[in-house]
Amino acid sequence: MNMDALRDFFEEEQRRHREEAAGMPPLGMRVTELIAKQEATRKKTHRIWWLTGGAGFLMVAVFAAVYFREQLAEAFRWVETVAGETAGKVTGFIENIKYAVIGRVSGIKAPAGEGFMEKATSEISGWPVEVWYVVMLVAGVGLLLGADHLLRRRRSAAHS
Amino acid sequence: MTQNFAAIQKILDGDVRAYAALVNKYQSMVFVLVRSVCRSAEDAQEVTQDVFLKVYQQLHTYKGNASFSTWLYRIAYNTAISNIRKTQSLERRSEAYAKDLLHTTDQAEEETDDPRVAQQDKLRSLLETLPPQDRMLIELYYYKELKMDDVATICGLTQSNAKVRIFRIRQKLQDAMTTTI
Repeated sequence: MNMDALRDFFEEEQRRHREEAAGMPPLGMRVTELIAKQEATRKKTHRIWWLTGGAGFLMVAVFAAVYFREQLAEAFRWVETVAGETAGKVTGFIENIKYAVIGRVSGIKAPAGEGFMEKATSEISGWPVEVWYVVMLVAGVGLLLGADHLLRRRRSAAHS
Repeated sequence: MTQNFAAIQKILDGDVRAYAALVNKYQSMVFVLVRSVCRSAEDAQEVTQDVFLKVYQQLHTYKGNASFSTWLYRIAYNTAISNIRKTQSLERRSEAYAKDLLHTTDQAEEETDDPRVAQQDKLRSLLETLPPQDRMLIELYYYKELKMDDVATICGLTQSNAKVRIFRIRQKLQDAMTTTI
């Protein structure tokens, strides 16, 4: 058997396969239907994961809040103190700048009064622990949603 | 080439009809390639379908470094190889299937008197014994429309490596045929 016979064999096989291919129905619509089904399943799975994850997160958060009540209260008190102090310092700094700028522009030396920022600071630092807890929880969920949104946007940008 | 790029851009923008048209355009090409390693036309049709599902998922990775058909052949090659591996492992587990196959092969051998047909049958069964990568490599080598560097790209080999392997496969087939005939 020579190489030509081998070539003839493969060419004959290809010719036979091409004939079979010619008898095949167009797959375009079937493939696109399958893709649509796969996409729907993927979205459904994604949604289920988000719901399960969200529910799990909430359960863990509630459990943690109940179980570590004391520590949590302590932590929030610490956050409250730090936030209060920081806000106070920032307000003082802004007020100083404000008065310095006003003084420099107008040439008037105004006495430092209680402004909006100080009011807001005292208001926020007076919030109970439960409110701080909810604020932190919402911020956490927001952070996760934001990260997910950014990742999706990057992925779709890479696709296009 | 530009036409393909425009179609791909449309598909990536979410045009499903453009993808259906692309599938219809290339389905025969993919079918002929995967048919060489599938037992039946039905199996080959299933694999062709799988190939186009994978192509849709990976279309964003096509950067145009190779021609679209070479890129498509590469996906078809990988899908067909993994499919044949799955099929082979299933077959190994099924003794009944092996017996059945033996029976049909014997029948085929008994039925043929024509030496050319007998030689073709023998070659077909010899090809069955080759590893799937080698089987596809030799098939692609005999494609008129593919150059050697395309064949190497599709099979993930260097050109010299592909040439050496093809030479060995052809030698092996020739030896097997001369010893048995």
